[in-house]
Amino acid sequence: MEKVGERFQVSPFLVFYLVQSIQFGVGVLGFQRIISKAAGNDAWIVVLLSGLVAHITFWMIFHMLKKSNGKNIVDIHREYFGKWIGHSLTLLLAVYYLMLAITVLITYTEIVQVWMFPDLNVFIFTFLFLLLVYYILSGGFRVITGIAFLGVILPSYLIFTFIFPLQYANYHNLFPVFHHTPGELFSGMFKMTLSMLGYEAILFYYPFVKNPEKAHKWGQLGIAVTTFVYLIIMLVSIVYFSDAQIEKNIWATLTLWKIVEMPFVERFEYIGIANWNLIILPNVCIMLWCASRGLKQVFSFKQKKTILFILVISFIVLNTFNNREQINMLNDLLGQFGFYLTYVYIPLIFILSIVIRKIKEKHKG
Amino acid sequence: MKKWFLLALTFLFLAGCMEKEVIDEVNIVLAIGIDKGDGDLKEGTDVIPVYQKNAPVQSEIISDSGKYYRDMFINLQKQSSNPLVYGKLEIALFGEEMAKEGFYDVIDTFERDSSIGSNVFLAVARGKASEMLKGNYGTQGTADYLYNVIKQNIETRDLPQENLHLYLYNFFSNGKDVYLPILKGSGEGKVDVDGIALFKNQSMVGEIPPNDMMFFKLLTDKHTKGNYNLLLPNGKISSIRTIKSKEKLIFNRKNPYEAKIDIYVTGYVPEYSGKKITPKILKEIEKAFKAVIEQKASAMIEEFKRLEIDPIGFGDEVKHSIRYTKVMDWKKNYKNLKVKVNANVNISESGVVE
Repeated sequence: MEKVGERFQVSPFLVFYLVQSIQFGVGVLGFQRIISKAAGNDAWIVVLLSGLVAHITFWMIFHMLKKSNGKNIVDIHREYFGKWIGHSLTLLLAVYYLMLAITVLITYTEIVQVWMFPDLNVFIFTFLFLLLVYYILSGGFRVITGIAFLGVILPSYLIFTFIFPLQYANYHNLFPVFHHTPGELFSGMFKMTLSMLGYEAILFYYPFVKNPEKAHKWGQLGIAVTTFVYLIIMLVSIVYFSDAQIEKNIWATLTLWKIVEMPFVERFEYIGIANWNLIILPNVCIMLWCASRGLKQVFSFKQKKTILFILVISFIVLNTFNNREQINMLNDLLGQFGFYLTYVYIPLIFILSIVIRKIKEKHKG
Repeated sequence: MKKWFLLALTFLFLAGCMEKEVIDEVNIVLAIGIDKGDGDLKEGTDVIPVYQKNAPVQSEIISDSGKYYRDMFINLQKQSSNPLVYGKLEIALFGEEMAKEGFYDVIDTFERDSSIGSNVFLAVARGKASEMLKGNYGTQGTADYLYNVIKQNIETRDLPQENLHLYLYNFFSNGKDVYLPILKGSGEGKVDVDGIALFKNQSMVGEIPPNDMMFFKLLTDKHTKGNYNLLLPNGKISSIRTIKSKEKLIFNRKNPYEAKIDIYVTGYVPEYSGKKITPKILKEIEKAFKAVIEQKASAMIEEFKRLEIDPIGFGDEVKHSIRYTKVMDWKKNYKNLKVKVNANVNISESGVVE
C-alpha cells in the first residue's frame, strides 16, 4: 500500500461536495413515479427513511475506514479475503461504478433526446462529454473535487424553481399520513436505493482526504442535504400531481417545470436540462475515477492507462446500448446491486472489520 | 497534442448539425381548434400569427381533417408553408359536438409532447371551434385575445381556475371530474364566457349557466372574485362583488356520506338601487346573499349527483380526510351523499358614499 502524497489530497470539508454531487444525479428528475407506485402519498416518508439508512451506512463505512489507517477498500479487501477473492470483489465494485456512470450518461442522453433535441447524435455527444471527463480525470483527484464543488454550487439556485408549482398545490394530498404498510414503504426504499447511492464512493477516495477523521461530519452533512432536497421535490410533487398522474410521468421533475413561467423565460425545462449537464459531470467523473482507481490498484497499472481503458469501454457501451428497455433493465440491475451493497454487503464487511480487529488485539495481548 | 486538439475541434463543429428551428422559419401555432367532422373525421384548425409593420396581428388559418388525431396533425403539417411548432400553444378550443363525444386522445398528445407547456388553456366553443378561430378579434391577434378573455375571467370574474395541468390533475384524480369554460362568439369580433361545461370522464354531460358560475367557483376554488345581482325582499336590487372567499369541506367521521361545506365570503356593494345603505340594509343584504348561496349551491350539488359527476371533488377530498377502508365503494354510494351548505357572508363596505 502506498501513501497518497499531501499535494494530491483535499481538505476534509470538501467531502461534503464530493458526497452531495455524486448522490445527486439523473435520479432526481424521475424518482417520484417509481416511489409513488410503491408508497403512494407516503412516498416522502420513504425518502426520509432512505436518508436515514444512508446516514447509518455512511457511519459504518467511515468507522471501518478510520480504524484501518488510511487504507481504502481495495487494501481492506486484500487484507480480509486474500489476493484472489479480495481482488475479485474490488473488480466487481469497479465494474459497478463503471456501469453506474454509463447509466447516468445514457439516461441523460435519453432526456436530452426526448425533451430537447430528438435528433441528437449520441456518438458525438458522448464523445465530447467523455473527452471532457478525460480532461478532468487526468487532472487528478483535486480537479475532480473542484468540479464536484462547482456541480453543487452553480445549479443550487434551481431549488427555488420548485416554488412555482405550489400555486396549484393541494395540500390535502399528503393526508392521510402513514396509511401504507411497512412492506410498501420498504419496497419504496428498495426502489429509492439507486437515487440515494454514491456516498459509498468514499471507500475508494478515503486516502485522498487530508485529516480524514474530520471529514465524517461533512460527509453526513452532504447526505443530509441530499435527503432534504429529495424530500422537498417529493413533497412538491405529491401536492402538485394527483395520484394517478404522478405514476404516469416518467420525468416528474421536468413536468413540474412545465408550469414555471417567467417574463423572460416561457418554459423552464430547457434551462433545467441544460443545467443538469453540470450536475451529472461530477457524477460521472467520480464514478469513473473510482472504477479506474480500483483497476489501477488491482493490476498495478498507471491510473492514466486505466482511465483511458475505462473511457473507451464506456464509449463503446454507450453507443451500443441505447433503447429504453435496455436502459430500464440496466437501471433495475444496478438498483438491485446497490440495494445489496448498502443493506447487506456494507453491514457485513463492517461487522467483519470489528471482529478481525478484536481477534488481532487478542493475539497481541 | 495539437493533432488531438484539431480532432476535438472538428467534432465540435459536427455537433452543430442538428435540426435548426429559426423563429422566422417555423410557423408558431398559438391556438388550435378541434371539431367533429363528417362521420368519424376530426377537424383541426391551427391559428398562426402573422406580424406586420404598423398593423394589427393577422392570423393565418390552416384547417384539415383526419380519421385519427395523428392523421389530422400530419395533414395540417402538409398544408403549412413552414414546419408547424406547438411549443407556444396558448389555447385549445373544442367544438361542442367534439366535447360531447370526448377528446381525451388529443389531450394525451398534448401531455406526451414535451414541447407543450402546462399553462395551456382548454375551452369548449359553442358551435364550432373553427368558426370562432376564424373571427377577427382585437389588435393582438385571435389567440392572444381568446387567451386574455379566459385569463381575465379567471383572475377577476367568475371562472374557476383551469389549464392543461388542472385538467390532467382532475382527470387522473379518481374522485374529481373535469370542468372547462364555454366560450361563445357574440356577434362580430367579440367573445363571451357562456358558462362552464361539466364532464363525466371525458365527455361533456352538462353545463352551468353564466349566472350561476360564481356559486360554482365558490365551491371549487379557494379565492373567488365574482359579481352577483341580488334581489332584496324590499324589491330593491343590490349588486355584490366578492373579494375574498374560502371553502371548507368537512366529512362526518362516523358516516362519510354526510358532509358539510362552510363557505366564507367577504364582499362589498358597488351598486344599490335604493336610496341609502344603512347598517340595517347591509344586514339584510348579507342575509339574503347567504340564503341565495346556500340555495344555489345545494341545488348545484343535487344536480351533480343526478348527473353522477363530481366536479367539486368530494371523492378526492374524502379519500384524503378519511382512511380508505371506510369509503371503498364511494363511487357507488355517491348518490346517497348528503351535503349541508353553510354560508357566512360578510359585507365589508359599500363604497365611498353613504
